[in-house]
Amino acid sequence: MRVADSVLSSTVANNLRQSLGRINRFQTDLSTGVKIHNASDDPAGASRSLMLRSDVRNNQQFQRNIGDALGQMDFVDSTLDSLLNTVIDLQGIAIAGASDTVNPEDRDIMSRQVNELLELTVSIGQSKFRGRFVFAGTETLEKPYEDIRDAAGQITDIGNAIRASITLDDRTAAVGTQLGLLTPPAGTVTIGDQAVAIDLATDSLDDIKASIDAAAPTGVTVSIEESFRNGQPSFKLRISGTATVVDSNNVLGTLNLGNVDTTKAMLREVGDGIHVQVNTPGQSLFEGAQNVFTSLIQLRDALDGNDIDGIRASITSMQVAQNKISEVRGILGSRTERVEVQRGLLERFEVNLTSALSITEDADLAETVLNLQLAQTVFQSALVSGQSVFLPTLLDFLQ
Amino acid sequence: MSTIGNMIQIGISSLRAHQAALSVVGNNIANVNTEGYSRKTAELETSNTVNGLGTGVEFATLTRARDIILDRQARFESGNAGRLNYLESAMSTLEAIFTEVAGGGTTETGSIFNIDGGAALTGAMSRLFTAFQDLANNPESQATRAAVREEASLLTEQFHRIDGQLDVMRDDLDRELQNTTTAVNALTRQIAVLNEKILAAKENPLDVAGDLNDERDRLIDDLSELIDVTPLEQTDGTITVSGATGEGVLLVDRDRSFDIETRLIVQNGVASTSLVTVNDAKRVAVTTGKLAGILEARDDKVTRFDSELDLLASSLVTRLNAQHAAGFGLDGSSGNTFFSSTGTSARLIEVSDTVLNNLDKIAASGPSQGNPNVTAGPGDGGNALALSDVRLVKLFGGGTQTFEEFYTDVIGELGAEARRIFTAAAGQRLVKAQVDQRRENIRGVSINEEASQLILFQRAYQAAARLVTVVDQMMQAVLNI
Repeated sequence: MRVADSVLSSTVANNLRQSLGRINRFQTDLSTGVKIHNASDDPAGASRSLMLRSDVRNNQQFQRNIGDALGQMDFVDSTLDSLLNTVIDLQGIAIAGASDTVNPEDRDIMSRQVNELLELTVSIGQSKFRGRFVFAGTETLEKPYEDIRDAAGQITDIGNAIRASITLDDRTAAVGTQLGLLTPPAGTVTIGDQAVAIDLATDSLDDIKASIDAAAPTGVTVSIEESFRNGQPSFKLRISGTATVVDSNNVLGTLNLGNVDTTKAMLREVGDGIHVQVNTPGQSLFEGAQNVFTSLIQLRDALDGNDIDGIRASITSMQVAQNKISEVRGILGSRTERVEVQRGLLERFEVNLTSALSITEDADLAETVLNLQLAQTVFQSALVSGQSVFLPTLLDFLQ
Repeated sequence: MSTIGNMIQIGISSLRAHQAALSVVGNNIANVNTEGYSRKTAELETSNTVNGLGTGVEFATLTRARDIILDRQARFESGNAGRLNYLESAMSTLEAIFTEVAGGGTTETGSIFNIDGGAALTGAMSRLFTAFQDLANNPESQATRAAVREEASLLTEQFHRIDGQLDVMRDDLDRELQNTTTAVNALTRQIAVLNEKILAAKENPLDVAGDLNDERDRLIDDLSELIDVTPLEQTDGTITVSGATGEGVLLVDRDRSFDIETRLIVQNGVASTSLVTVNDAKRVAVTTGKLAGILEARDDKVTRFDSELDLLASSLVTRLNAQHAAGFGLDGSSGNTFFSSTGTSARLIEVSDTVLNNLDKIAASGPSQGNPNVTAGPGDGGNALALSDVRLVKLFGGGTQTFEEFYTDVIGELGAEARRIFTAAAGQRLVKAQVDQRRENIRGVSINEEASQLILFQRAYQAAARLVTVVDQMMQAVLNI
């Protein structure tokens, strides 16, 4: 076969180029430790690797969610523990107080002791974790329970607090106009023992405060709180007290005024679409018949009034309260365990994911080194054969 | 009857013919490295005989070594190579644009693809979704709200970056189309000029026509890398060049060339530049060559991946906005948009001004149990969780793929396509190299061969010179009688 001179050199050059390309490829694999540099290196692997990364990221987020959840759950658990101990202590005091051998003076002392423990219980009901009320359902910035005190500073009643209104920029302009409502609601609102007529079409925050102040429901004070947003003052109406608000025309409801809802669950995502409740709503602990607050007030007053029947009645209701607390704590405990198990699973799963990721994208070092050496050998042979491309020609022998 | 004068004529004819043959050999050797050079062979022929006696030798023709079938094959393969080589570079650019970088977070070491720093779309997307979970953990906090806003802005920036780079790429492709068209026109004009020269030089085929033919073949080779060519050699020595077979687009006819140009054509409401002939605005169909590669990259690849990106952006905007509007902000407001509702493409996606200006508007909370019109409270992260769970909605691929799965599949699809083209281009280069080698083996210069010719002709020249000396001596002998 006839061979043109130019073909020889271009063949060697082509082969050298190809060989060098392979060497470059293996060296990149070795120096980066991964075998997928571009999606085209392994399209399926690249796609899988991206999904795995996203799975790892989610997994770590779930673990972070769980860490956050467990912090709050542990806090609530120890809070419930001290609440339970307090109630058990109180039962001891009540049983001692109900005994005939105790004289009125002793009961008086016991009553004061109970009062202190009542204060403690109230503060437990208003415990905060990282600045948030833990028993206020999802309304974590509102104090869930309000205590009403008499002139002597003694707690006379404890009940659901009323949350503050939404924030408005102007305290003197009509609320309906500010909210841009076409037909602002109007009607009579019953706050505790008084009825107040409010018309949002005409009333400003100041007007509403004035109306309620004029009606003066028992144990209720109204204030307007000022705060700043973007340097501008803004205002919200706050009704403090334990009064039940009946608002059939949704007048105050439009302002989002109403009793704090202590029932709502607070959820954390611990797996794809798996949500776990982390909070313990205050309602299951502190509300309803024979709750811990009322039974303590009952016990304190019975001890103070030397009323042995009252003391006995309070023992029964305290037992109910204690059962309630134990039950809630049990639920919390099993939920904590579930979350702990989930965390264990996630940790193990993360290891699996990471190793899957490594299998998908990490270069097999031994194999790559071998391939590299092979490619180098080929390259060197090509170089050697390149030397002989420029063979002596017939011309070299012509004189 | 032979005369002494006749004999000297024989010697001179031989000297002349072999000198010419030697210069052909010399020219071959000189052009050993010239691209597109076809070696020439001097064909010698016996001169007319007179009275049964020869009158010497004469230089008859100059033959160009060539194989028409290989020529055609080489042009066909170089057309395919032109298309695939261009597509190959376009796909690497596209791949680089869609390159996903895993890094960005401290918990993630190493990067899947070899570019450092930053984080690409999948990372930004899943981080936005996890930021919503952080928001659910701590909905009262301005810090987690700010984190959600930042992650969302980062995500929109990723969309903008990819979309912007695709725009730049499309512009580059348009410019390349323009330049290549200009190059095609320059080549066809040169071919027409050469046709004209060859026609003129036909009178004297020994002089320049051979090299003119080489030059014209080289130009047609170059042209075949850019566009489909069907060259047809006419009896008068000119070559008619038309475009793809059966399309009837004439590029060169004798000494006339026909320019092509890019023209904006609106089809189905989409404006794009197409190739047409300048004369009669006839559409030029291209299936091979660089032009085919450019058009395929622009009208198929870039457009397809751009629209998939747009689909992702618009679905993300619609889904997240719908869920966001159902929730309540820290200020109790509801019905707010998270992404600007007008930005339903990768280019236009933006975090809504509502959220940018006031973090309280991010709707982390769900509705209250009793009253669906008011918020469940600042501590409720129900809607934030619902926003995060949008990532689990199987919206794509006929209800089989989530947002992230859809996009990673797009990356996979892009990778697979790039890989297919890279492999095809590498294969095509091999095929082309082989055909080129075979062609070069036929027409290229071999020094050894030329050297042997050199000896042959030199010796013949020496012998002819010797003959003249002998004749000279014979004449002296005659004179001395």
